[in-house]
Amino acid sequence: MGAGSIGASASGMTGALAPERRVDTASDLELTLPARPENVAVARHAIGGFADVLEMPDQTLADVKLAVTEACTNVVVHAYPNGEGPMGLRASVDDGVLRVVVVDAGRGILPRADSPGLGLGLPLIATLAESLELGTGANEETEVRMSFRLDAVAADDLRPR
Amino acid sequence: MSADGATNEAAVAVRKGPLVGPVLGRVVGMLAARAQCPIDRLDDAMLLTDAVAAHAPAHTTDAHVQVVVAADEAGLELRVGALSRDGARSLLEDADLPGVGNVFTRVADEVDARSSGDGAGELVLRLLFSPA
Repeated sequence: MGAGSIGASASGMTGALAPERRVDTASDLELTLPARPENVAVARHAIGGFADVLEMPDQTLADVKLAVTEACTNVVVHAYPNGEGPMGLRASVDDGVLRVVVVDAGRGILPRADSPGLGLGLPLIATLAESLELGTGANEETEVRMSFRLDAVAADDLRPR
Repeated sequence: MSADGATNEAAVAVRKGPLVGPVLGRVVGMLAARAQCPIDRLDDAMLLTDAVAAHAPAHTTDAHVQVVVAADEAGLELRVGALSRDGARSLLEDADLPGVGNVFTRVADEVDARSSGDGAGELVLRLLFSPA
């Protein structure tokens, strides 16, 4: 264990993400990461944190994690062809429905002749989720909105006890 | 750690309640592991995360606990933000354990309880992977 010191500067990491940023008040979870391949697993793992709290059926959890993985992979592969940008994940539970939104500030969802993928990501998400919407957020971000029915889950399960 | 050696950084906001510990622990664990964090320091990182999850909800200004997690080859940094006026100092004090001492100052290599000009508080915890 390290010997701690109070008041020392936390030098060496000059992150651009301010912890006081505005949070979507409706979300139970909001996660923002650089759109890098290794961070797809971080997003997948974070959404899996819901399973620790909610009585989510294994099959539903598997579907949610796969859909989130596909949506985040799309962000990494397609959103920023000329560099790197943010990848966001928002999740909330209300009335037994898990709503997940994967957000990016990239080029939008457009046909791409040179796509390296098979084009199966969005159809797969549509199959796994109860609903799928592609849209634009308030700040012109690209949003992939998914919902999953969690019959055994109540919204109160996520509120402070 | 990313392939190009750059800092990897995640901003997490979790509604106060039972989700804070499981979600924050997973994000911190993943970023630390990706940065090649030694196993003993990963254990320390989880101790810090558990303490933040346990005590931060009492000191935030809204319904969420907000943490920025940054990892590079040198270490891991947690910036717990959107704290109330004097919230950083209070959060630090809450981590005192009888007979053990303060979890944050004993485990982290650097602890900084900050207050910005508008009164908002931020607690910064830095864990070095190879302590001096």
